[in-house]
Amino acid sequence: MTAARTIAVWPSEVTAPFDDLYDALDSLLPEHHLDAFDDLDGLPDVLSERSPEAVVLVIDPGSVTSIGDRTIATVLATLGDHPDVSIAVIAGDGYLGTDGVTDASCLLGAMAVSGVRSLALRRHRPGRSNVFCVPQSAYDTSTSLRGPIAQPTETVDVANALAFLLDETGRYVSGDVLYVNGGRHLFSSHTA
Amino acid sequence: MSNQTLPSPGPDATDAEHREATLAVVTGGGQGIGAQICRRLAADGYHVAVNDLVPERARAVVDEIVASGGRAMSAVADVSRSEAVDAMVDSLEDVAGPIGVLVNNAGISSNVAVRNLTDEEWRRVQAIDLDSAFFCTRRALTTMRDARAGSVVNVTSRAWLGWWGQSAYAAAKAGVVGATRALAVEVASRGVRVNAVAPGLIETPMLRNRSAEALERLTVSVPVGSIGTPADVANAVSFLASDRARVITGQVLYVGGGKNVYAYPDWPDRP
Repeated sequence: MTAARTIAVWPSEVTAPFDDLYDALDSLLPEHHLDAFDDLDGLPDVLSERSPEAVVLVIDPGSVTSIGDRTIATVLATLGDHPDVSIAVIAGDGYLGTDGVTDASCLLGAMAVSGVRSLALRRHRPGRSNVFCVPQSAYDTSTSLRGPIAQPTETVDVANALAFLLDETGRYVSGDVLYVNGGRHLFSSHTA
Repeated sequence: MSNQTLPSPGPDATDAEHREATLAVVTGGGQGIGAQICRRLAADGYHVAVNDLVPERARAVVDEIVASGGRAMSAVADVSRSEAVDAMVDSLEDVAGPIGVLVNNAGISSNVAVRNLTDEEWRRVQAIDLDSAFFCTRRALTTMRDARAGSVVNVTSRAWLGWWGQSAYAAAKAGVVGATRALAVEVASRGVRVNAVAPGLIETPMLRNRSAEALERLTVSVPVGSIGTPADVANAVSFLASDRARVITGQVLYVGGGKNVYAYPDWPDRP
């Protein structure tokens, strides 16, 4: 079996909203031999055994009360010991300030951003660290929250952004926050 | 300029067909990062207008693109003058159809302590780095609004965050960031996206003139441990200009190997 170049870490608590992201990524990055994985406790062994080039951590902000901060803390601490592995975190953009988003969701989003920037800051860590912030409307179609672009964020939009950064095309992008949210971040001073 | 007029894609056209029918204008495209952006957009399928103040530089990039099978034409104009910009885009659209992608890349750097910064130097930097982006964007938007489609990508710099000797340059590049964000909000409803890339340390002729010791010091200051290439910036521009980024607007994408997170001060000698 070919070793996976990219592992999608998919905590078991995360459910439906991004289920098709894995398939979209698989078609955009066929050479990456994407593997899904949901056993966080086993992550250190998996990283040692498979030596992936990148890990995609998918967080569903709607599930943060069950995931808590354990996911971010565990994965980032583990990846800190693997300097060659790039990490991409898909988080919610609720931390920018949005009515109706839970405190836990805000904290987790902020933690994801600070965590990957901290990893990116490590000198001579060839692996890159980036966050993709997606709006609540991407997983909760009942909300009408929109950015300047009225078009809702869809799975393929997140996959396209991930494909750009995980591929060679994004090899010099690290410590960045990419807002795949129709420009909703423009309403927040956090992003200035 | 070429006398080739681009066909209009039909309603069922693919992304590739849209790019083939799209005029992409790159200012400051005759050398360095701008030239690489031209090559990349031509490889993506766009009909590229290579703007430069120096005809020979623009022509050389055009010839290279055409020789490799792409479509390009030169557009010689001083983009720091609004009348020159309007005339340039009018002329390009007469030949190649409506502008669909604009890359505001033209710029000069400036490294002068404020006590030595003259009025002329300040205004020169603002004119070339900031005014040009405004003039080109204003003209391009007249077309893009009508088409209800278009993408503007501004090349700013991580230097906008501020650094010693960079007050004129940082002010201009910060102006580009502010304009990017404001325009992104203003024109989104017209189907136009406005984004920016902020390069960090990139291999340019200016950098190659540094001593080996200075280069080593600079390289060490980048978290990923290497200096970026013009292709890294061009790839980011290509992504933001394309439909793959259709819900991304007002983004300032740093292409800096992590140095955008923190600058690792390398203090100059202080008098």
